This record gives sequence, C-alpha cells and structure tokens, in this order.
Amino acid sequence: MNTWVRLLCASLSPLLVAAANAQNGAAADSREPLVINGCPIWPHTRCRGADLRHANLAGQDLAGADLRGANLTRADLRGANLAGAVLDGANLTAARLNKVNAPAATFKSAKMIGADLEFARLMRADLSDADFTGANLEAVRANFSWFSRARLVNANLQEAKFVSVNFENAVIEGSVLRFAIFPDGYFKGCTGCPKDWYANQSE
Amino acid sequence: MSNRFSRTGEPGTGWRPWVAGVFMAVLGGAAAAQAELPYNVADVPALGSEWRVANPYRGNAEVARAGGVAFNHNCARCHGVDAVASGMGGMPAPDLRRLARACRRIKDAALQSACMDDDDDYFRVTVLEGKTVVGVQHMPAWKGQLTQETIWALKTYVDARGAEGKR
Repeated sequence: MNTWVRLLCASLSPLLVAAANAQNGAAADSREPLVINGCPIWPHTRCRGADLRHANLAGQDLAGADLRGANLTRADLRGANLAGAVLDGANLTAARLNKVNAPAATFKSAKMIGADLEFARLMRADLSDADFTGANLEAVRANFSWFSRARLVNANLQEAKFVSVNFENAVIEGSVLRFAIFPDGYFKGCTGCPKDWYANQSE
Repeated sequence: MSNRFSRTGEPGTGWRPWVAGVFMAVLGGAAAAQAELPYNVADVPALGSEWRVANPYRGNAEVARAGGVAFNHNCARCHGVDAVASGMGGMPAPDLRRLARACRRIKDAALQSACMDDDDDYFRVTVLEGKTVVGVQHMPAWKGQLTQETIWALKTYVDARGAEGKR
C-alpha cells in the first residue's frame, strides 16, 4: 500500500509543480494593469469623466481613485476596493457593487439607480444627494455615513446597518425596511425615515 | 536637620533645586524647539513657485534622506517614526510605505511611470488639502506650511522606504 502511495505521489508531483508554475506565470502577467478607454485601473488613478460603461472591474483596486463624473453604467465593481475613492457625480446606474469595499469614499450626487450594493461596505462614506431609486442595499454596512438629501425610493434596504447615519432631508419611500437598523440616526427633515428608533434628532 | 531637598534642612535651598531648575529649563527649551512645526527641508534643489504635478526628485537618494528628517518632524506623530505605521503599536494613520505598492508591481516602464505620476498627484493634493470625510478631519491641511520642496522630498522618502521592504 505504502509503495503504491509513494508511486502515486512521485508521478503526480511533477504535474503539480508544473501547474503551480503556470499559475505563477499567469499571476505575474495579470499584474499588468487594465487600461479601459484611457483610464488605467490602479489606486489613485485620475479618471474624471471616464467612460467605464460595462467595464469589468470586479476585485480591482481603485483606492483613492478620482472618478468624478465617470460613467460606470452597468459596470461590474463586485468586490472592488474603492476605499477613499471620489465618485462625486458619477453615473452608477445598474452597476454591480456587491461586496464593494468603499469606506470613506464619496458618492455625492451620484446616480445609483437600480445599482446592486448588496453587502457593500460604506462606512463613513458620503452619499449625500445620491439617487438610489430602485437600488438594492440589502445588508449594506453604512455606519457613520451621510445620506443627507439622498433618495431611497423603491429600494431594498433589508438588513441594512444604518448606525449613526445622517439622513437629513433624505427621502425614503416605498422601500423595504425589514430588519434594517437605524440606531443613533439623524433624521431631521427626513421623509419616510422610521419613527421607532432612538434617534439624535432635533425638529 | 537635613531632608531630601536640602542639606541645610530647609526646603528649596542647596544645590539640588538649582540643578532641577536648570534641567527643567533645558527640557522646556527642547520641548519648545520640538513644537516649532512645520519643518521644511533646506538642502534640496529649489523648484520655484509653480507646483509640479509629478515628483521631480523621484529616486533621488539625497533628497530622500532630507525627506526622512522632514517626515519625522512633521508626519511621524500620525504616520509613524521612519514611516512605520503598521505592525506592533500601529499608528492612527495609514502606512505610507504602501502608497505606491501597486505601481511597483507594474513591469511596463511607461505604465509604471504613469502610475507613479497619479500617486504623486494624490500625495500632493492630500498633503496640501488634508482629509476631511463626513465632517471629520482625519488629516490637517499643510497648505501654506510646507514648501513644494518639502512635500516632494517627503514623497521621495516615502517611496524609498516602500521600495526597501518591497511592500
């Protein structure tokens, strides 16, 4: 039995080494960055107004990127790193942002209509004036973020974590709020914000 | 009768209080000198008044050394002494040795240079304008306090430190 095991290992190990080398080679090649319509995909990239429609940016590192006014309609940003990125005025209509990592990012006045932000990490993000009509924010983690004047109309907010979130003058209408939490929220001037949470509000 | 303050038995007399006073004056002077921020480099090539968008000192070891001194004066309290902000005793601000990590991995020289240009601009803007997110100031603005020469020297130093550890 031991002899057969040794023979099996001896015959398989060259194949395993070859496979590992092939993978390393592929990994080394894949470190060369993408450039999409003149926009290089790397941290701190400067791509204001870039055309990134339908771009496959899943898992890409765009930390600190300047994507102000960029068109990311239907772009795939699943699992992308957008920490500290600036997407003010960007168009993210129907974009896929599941599990995106975007703490301290800014999406001021961004269009997020129909976007999918399930499990997105949006702690300390600024989403003021953004439009989330028909968007999916299920289980989003948005602690300490700002949604002031944001539109959350017909959105899915199930299990979203809105801890200490600023909803000043926001509009929440026709959205699913099952199991969403809003502790220590700021709801001044908010239309449709839940009334049964302990809130830091002054009206 | 003597006590631990003076040989003659009366507090405040004798040589010990005098020595303590001199010691405190020296410490106070040192503290005052430390507090004289910001520290600007003096021994690097002048760049003029027009702001560069990419680091003109990139790869210059002499400037990196000067930048290191400026870093430990101006930045170390948040970003760590010698730019070590991660690991044991982590600092409140990010480890800047990782700033150009993505760029260092790029093999194509032209692309790598373009990546470093973006990195340089990000660094310049952040140092000048600071970082305030959702009303919380994470980093102060250094505009009007650090010269252009100092800011680029800092970037040169940070890049050199990052390249050392290949982070």
